[in-house]
Amino acid sequence: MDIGGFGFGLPHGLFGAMGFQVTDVTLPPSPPHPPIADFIEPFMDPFCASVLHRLAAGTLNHLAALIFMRESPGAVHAFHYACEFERRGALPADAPRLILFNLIPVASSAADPFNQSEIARVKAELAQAECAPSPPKHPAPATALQSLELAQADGQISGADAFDLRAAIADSPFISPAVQPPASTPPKSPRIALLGTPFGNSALHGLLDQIGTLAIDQQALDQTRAAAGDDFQTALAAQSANPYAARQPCDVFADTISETIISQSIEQVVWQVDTHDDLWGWLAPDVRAASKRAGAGFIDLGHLPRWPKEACLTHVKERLFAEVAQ
Amino acid sequence: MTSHGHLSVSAQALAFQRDWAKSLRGDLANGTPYAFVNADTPHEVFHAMGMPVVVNQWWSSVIAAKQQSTHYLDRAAEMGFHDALAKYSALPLIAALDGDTDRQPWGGLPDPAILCARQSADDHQRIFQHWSRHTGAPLALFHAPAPPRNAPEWWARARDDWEAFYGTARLDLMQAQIQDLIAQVETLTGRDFDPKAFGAYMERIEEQELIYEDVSHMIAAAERLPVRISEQIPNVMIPQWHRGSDWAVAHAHRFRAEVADRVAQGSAVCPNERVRMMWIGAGLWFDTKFYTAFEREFGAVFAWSMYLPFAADGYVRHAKGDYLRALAARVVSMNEQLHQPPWANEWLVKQARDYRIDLAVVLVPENDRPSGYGTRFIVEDLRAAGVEVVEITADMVDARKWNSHSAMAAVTDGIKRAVQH
Repeated sequence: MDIGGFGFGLPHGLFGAMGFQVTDVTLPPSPPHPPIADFIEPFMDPFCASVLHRLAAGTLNHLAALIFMRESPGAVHAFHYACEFERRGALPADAPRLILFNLIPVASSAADPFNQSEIARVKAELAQAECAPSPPKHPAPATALQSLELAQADGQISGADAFDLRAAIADSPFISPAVQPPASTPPKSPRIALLGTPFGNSALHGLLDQIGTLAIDQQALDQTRAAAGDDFQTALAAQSANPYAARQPCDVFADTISETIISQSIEQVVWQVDTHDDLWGWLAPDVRAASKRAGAGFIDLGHLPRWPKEACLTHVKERLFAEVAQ
Repeated sequence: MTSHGHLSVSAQALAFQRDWAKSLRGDLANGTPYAFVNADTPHEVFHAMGMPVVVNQWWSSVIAAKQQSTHYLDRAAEMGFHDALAKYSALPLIAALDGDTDRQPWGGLPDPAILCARQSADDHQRIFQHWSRHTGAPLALFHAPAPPRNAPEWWARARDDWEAFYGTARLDLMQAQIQDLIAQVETLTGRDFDPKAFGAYMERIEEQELIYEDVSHMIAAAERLPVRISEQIPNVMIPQWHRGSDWAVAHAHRFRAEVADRVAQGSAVCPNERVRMMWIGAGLWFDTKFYTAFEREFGAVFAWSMYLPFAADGYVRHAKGDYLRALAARVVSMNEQLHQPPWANEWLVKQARDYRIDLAVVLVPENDRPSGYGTRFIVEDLRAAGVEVVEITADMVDARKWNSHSAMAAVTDGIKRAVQH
């Protein structure tokens, strides 16, 4: 029975330790599904809105269960809306079982027992959905994600290709695509870091690939670290150690980004947020300051849609070529 | 007691708050350690241990009342914080980062000894991490896991059946964090936590909240509105900030007595009352005259705001001897009950029925998503219950975007529709 996971930073290592392999259903867009569209406020996180539309349209009926990660931005609201739609009879009869996973990304005497109880509860709910733990049939995605991250940082793979390969892993974690470095070409300057709100497609990444080397993608850094670990101890430790977790309780993002910009020789930071962002924008001044301290350029592209089309990036392209391209 | 002008207790509440604020200001100036906290955190810990508390949302309303919100929101943009970020919870931070003490109320706040927030919204930890860095104060950050399902009729189950309703694991986590907070406050204050005194204090809070429940029932049942929400709110919220104190409990008694007297006399704020309205959302702090703007022409009164009825439903958690656990049950889903489906929509429909509401005016915060979620369910369910609904998009502290004319026009249209029913 297939299990879906919704949220950025899915803990694949932890799922593996629990005996499950989970397909990431976070990224795909969806047209509005009219029967529920009127209930979804325009400021709803776009990925949250998309999963709700897909649930109601029956697109996710192949899943036995859909796990919502509470600590992903907006995901708890997506979960409660989904439950409310279910209560009102607005979901298909064979919609997946809706499960909320409150995994707290911190190690403490208070959080540890709670996380253990959540793991037990989620396992019980999956059992109710007739999803039984089983030995993994395929490698967990963590290794593939780590390889992609390194290859991207080395300029062996473009930012867009890396994004698309990660999305392929998300679609089917049972497939670990081998990263084939292209024919040897020197990575071009500037070395770019793309930071801010995660995206649903690689349109902006492709644009940045034309400008320089998209070496660092915050979305990828989060995904890789959250997926790490091959047993309960290491997988749980990976959550608390992930400085890119959206709701990371510890104030570590600014310092980590600062170190990353320096250690990865980033020459240009590209910052952007979602139209209705209420989270990442709080970090913008820190990122700008870190870029300045490191001698890197900082460009704020402002509010961008999460599934940008090339046509709507025209003004972005003009600006990037004018201000960034060397 | 005056005639259907103001209640005498209203002036008493405002005077108390002024005196308290003056005293707090003096304490802060003398270097008394204080806590800067979000509204949905366990204030009871600080109160019980004699540590002054400044509530973020209260300070935000003070800044807004001083007509400084526009300036600070402009400063936020200059600092690099985009305009779509939450304002109500962040205005004080921006004022602090701005650093111009001449402009700030009271000349600005000194650095707190401790900060406290709950991760009930995605941005709370980011805002408070800024506070912590700016002030050097430690941040007591409470996690906010959600229940596996938002079971219905929370207001009925939460008073007694809270262990099962909120879940043992969540309550264990919340209680453990409360105990950690107690240890921190003990260190900061040099005082030991007294469980027995705390229990007595929690019982006093319960007494206070049940008085408010009486008042809510009286107002709901009265033939015509005896007390406007513009007076209900300070008579509830000021004591709520000081809940369980001798003054707060006594004030609640006085408030109930005056309201009861008004009801007994058939006193009405609007003798030609024809339409009863409910205001859904936080208070419109920069335009409170809005609440009385429809009385003369339409006989339309705002009879309900959340503050009075939420006092009992949100706060009463029968302790059964375990007061820290009861406090955990009070805090664990405090905000969520007002904003998540089906909790919010069910409760508001019940309230609308109790108060015989004809028209609901729903404030949809433009840039405060947590307060705006669930609105569509609320609107749908109120309409299904026969309540006319008007939605107004605005921000609780951002006066720049408040269009009073358009809001009044929308409510006027709603009143006319309600009258036709």
